[in-house]
Amino acid sequence: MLGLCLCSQAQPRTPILVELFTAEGCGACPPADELITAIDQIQPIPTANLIVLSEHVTYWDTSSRDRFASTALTNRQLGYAKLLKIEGVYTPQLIIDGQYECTGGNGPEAKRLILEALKQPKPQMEITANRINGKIKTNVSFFGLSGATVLVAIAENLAETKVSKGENAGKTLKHTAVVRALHTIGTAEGLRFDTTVDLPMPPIVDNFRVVAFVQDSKTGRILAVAQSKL
Amino acid sequence: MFYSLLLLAYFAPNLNPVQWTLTGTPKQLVLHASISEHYKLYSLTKPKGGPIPLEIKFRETNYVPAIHPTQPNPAHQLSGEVDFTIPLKLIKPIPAEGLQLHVDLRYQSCSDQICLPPTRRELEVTLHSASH
Repeated sequence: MLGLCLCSQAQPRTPILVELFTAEGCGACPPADELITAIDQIQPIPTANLIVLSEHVTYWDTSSRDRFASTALTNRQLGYAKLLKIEGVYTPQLIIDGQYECTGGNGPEAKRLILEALKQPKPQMEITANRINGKIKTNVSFFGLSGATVLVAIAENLAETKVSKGENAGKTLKHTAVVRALHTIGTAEGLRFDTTVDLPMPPIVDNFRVVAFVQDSKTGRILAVAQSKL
Repeated sequence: MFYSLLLLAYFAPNLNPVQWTLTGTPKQLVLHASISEHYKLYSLTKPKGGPIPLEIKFRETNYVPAIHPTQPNPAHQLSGEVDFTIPLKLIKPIPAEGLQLHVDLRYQSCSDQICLPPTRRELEVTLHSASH
């Protein structure tokens, strides 16, 4: 794992977005699913607020469908391959702050890359989210970052699937922060971005979180990120 | 689980772990797969569900309407150096200038650390009649 820390006093934590591209049909993915769960729960790096997302891709849906997978997420991973100049895509893959990538289950390398990402300063971002009349009213605000894209992911906190076919047949897979919807809500312009949107509620039950992030579309770099757990 | 992840030796992902070559005669082709260390190829016998089995298709169906490739053993996953044998039964004579056959492959491969999406490769081989 990343290594536990017992911290005697609170330190400021820089938010870092950790995206896991995964699939229920992929035999190598369960250890990465467990790693992302551990990162979310343990928060093992004292200076980092690790905000995680599990993004299920469709290219393993050859004979049985991963109910969390979507073409939009597959395309997101393909976009990273292009931006990061990677020969292709694979699962499980971790993308750290849109800048660095490694094999999904590789905790030591993930730690090294997170520490690298922490060297970049990040402006503070505020997010509030409330469930109102079947919608998720979300407000996102931050200063600066003009020209970058603002995205909001709605993710199921914990999801479980008993897999019946394929490499993971017979296993019960547990996923953390499973992306069920990803919306582009605007482009940062001027000094301050402050936008409220009513996002449709995806077909999930209760436990979910809303993650907002600002991404440089030319480099893929995550410039700011924040989350609200409902 | 947390600590067992520390014990695994991780290697850089190889996104092109299977190298293919196609050779042969008008009677039989040999499709050779050289599979990188740590990786496995899902074979012709892989049952439905999950990763796809290896698919081999000829474009020149006017010469080769059907094929029945075989693999060295019935395993669902293969590793190392593997020869697939494809007996040929041409239904038309080979032209004097030779016959170029195009073979389309579709396959999936994994290591114990990563899995790759279905991959396509196109191979070709030129056959000449025995009299040439």
